Amino acid sequence: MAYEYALVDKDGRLREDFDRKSDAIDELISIEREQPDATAGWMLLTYDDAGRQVGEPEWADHLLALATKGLLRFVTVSEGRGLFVAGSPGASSGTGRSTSPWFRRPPKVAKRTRALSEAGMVGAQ
Amino acid sequence: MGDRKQLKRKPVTEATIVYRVVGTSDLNSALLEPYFRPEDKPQEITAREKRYPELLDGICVDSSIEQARITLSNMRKAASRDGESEKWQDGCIAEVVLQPDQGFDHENRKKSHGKQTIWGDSTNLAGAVCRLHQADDRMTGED
Repeated sequence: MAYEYALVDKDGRLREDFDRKSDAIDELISIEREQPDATAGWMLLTYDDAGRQVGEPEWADHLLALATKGLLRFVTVSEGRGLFVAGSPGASSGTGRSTSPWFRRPPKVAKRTRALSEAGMVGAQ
Repeated sequence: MGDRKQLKRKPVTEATIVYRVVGTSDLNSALLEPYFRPEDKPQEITAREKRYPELLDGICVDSSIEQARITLSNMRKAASRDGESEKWQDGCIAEVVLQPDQGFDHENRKKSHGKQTIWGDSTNLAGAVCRLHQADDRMTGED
């Protein structure tokens, strides 16, 4: 089952869509880096092949908070597609500064790591 | 960015039905028109919007009534989360028939989420509404 991910603002407007959830979260992080709070009220929606929404909307601020605290882990699932899941706590430095690799790595590095992860070469579960 | 995200804006060349969430249950074009204005244009902040700023001159619509109902439900959830639980409670789904040669453009990337972008004069778009549907499966008005 392939999924699509849509970033939608609070007025229901599609702002961007993605084949991978990790790319959607990368985009959220990139936007927030440039314009803090720009994605307030945005949600990430997941759709299946049949166009049905899967599960509940995921709020951008919640996803960003998880990423900030290092609580999102990238895992590889079937069909080579990736998912972020809430992982075990403990990655936070406790300093209030992000320990998330999504905040620390430039996007190209993150994408390279993701590609390696999907290939089962690093950190995949 | 690959071609997957290339803008595919085209003039409407055949009758096309789309669905738009509106905040009125009155099938009056003057009351519907504000919901077809691209005013309060958000900033171009996603990568695709920066590449194609005209996206934000368009109106986001859904391909099916079912998807529009989900959109309305999500908008209500977002409003409720903002402490505005009354917002969109009277929201309806406008069924819009885009006819050729009316100056309408659209972009339908045929994605699973069913969201499309349409462009056109807001008065003409409001005039193209043929029916209003409630959030459930009732219909509120018909031409």
